[in-house]
Amino acid sequence: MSWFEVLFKKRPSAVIAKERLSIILAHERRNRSGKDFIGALKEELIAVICKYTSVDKDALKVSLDRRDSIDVLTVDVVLPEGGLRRS
Amino acid sequence: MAKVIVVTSGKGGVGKTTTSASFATGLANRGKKTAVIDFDIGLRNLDLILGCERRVVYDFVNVIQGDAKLSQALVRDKHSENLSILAASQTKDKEALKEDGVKTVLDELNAMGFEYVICDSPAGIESGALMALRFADEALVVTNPEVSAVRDADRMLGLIEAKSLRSEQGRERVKEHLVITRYLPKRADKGEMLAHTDVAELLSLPILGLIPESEQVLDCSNQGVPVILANGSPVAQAYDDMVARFLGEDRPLRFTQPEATPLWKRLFGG
Repeated sequence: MSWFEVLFKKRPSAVIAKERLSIILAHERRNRSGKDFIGALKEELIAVICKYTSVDKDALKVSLDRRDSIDVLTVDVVLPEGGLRRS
Repeated sequence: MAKVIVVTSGKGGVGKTTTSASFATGLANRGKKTAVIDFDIGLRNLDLILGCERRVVYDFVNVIQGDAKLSQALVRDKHSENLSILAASQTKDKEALKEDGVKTVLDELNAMGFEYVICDSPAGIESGALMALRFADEALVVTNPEVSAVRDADRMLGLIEAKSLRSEQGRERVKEHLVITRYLPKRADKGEMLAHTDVAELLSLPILGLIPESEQVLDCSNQGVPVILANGSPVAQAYDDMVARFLGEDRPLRFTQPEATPLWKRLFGG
C-alpha cells in the first residue's frame, strides 16, 4: 500500500465481501433447513384439491411464510361461482 | 472399500476439473490405485485436461447402458500407471446417468481393486451434479475467493447434506474439505480479496488445499498435463501439499503471504 492510499484509506472491499456473505449465507442456511418439501407439498395439495373440486388450478395459492418466530403455511383457494362442485 | 470423493463447487470455472485431475494424479503417484470419472455428461473435458482425449473409445454412459464393459471404457493414464480415467459421454441426454447404473460402476471399480474413485462433478445443481455427490464418502468443495463462488459452495454443502446417500441412510456424514483456487496473497493482504481464512470461516470448513493463481494452469491444460506435474511451480507444490494432507500428512499452508515487495515500491506504490 502506498502512502497515498494510506492517507485516503477507504474500507477494503474484502471486508465488505465478508460482511455481505455472512449475512446472505446465514439467511440461506435458515431457509435451507426443511424448506425443500414446500414445492412438492404445493403440487400435491393442488392435485388433491383439483381432484375433488372443480376449482381452477390457477385459483390456488400455497405459500410458507415466517412471521416473527412462527412458520405460517397459507393455502388460498378461490371458489368458483356457484360454490364447490365435484367435477 | 474404495473411497468415493466428489470434487464439486456449484459455480462453473473455479477449477473443479483442474483439481480433480491433479488430485487423482497426486494420489496415483503416491501408489494409490485411483480412478477418476467425468460426470459432466454432454460436456466431456477431463480427458482433455489429462491429455488422453484421443484414446477414449467408450464412455461412462456406454458402460451404464451396457454397450461396453467398464474394463473397455477405462483409459489408462499416460502419466501415472495407477490412474484410470472414465470419460463423460457427449450424448445430449443428460438424464442418462441413473442412480443404479452409477452404483454398479462404483461397485465394479471397487471389485477391480481401486482404492480411490474421484467424481468430477459438473457445475450447477442439476442431475449430473447430484449423481456425482450421491455416493460420496468425502467431498472436495472447490471455490475461488469471489463472493459468487463462495455462496455457491455453501449451497453445494447444503445439497451434500440433503442429497447424499450417507445423509439419507443416517450414516456418518460426508467429510467435507475446502479447496481455495486462484488465490492471490498480495491482493488478499491489501484487502482487495477475501483472505483464505475468511473463506474457511464463512463456509466453516477446514482448508485442504490453497492453490495460488498461476499462469502454469493454462500452460499445462494446453498440453494435456495435470498441473501437479509442473515440477517446482507453486501451484504444483500447493496441489502436492493438498494430496499429502488428504493422506494424513501434516503440511502447513503455503502461499498465504505475498512475496516481499522492494522498498521503493512500498513507498511509491507498485
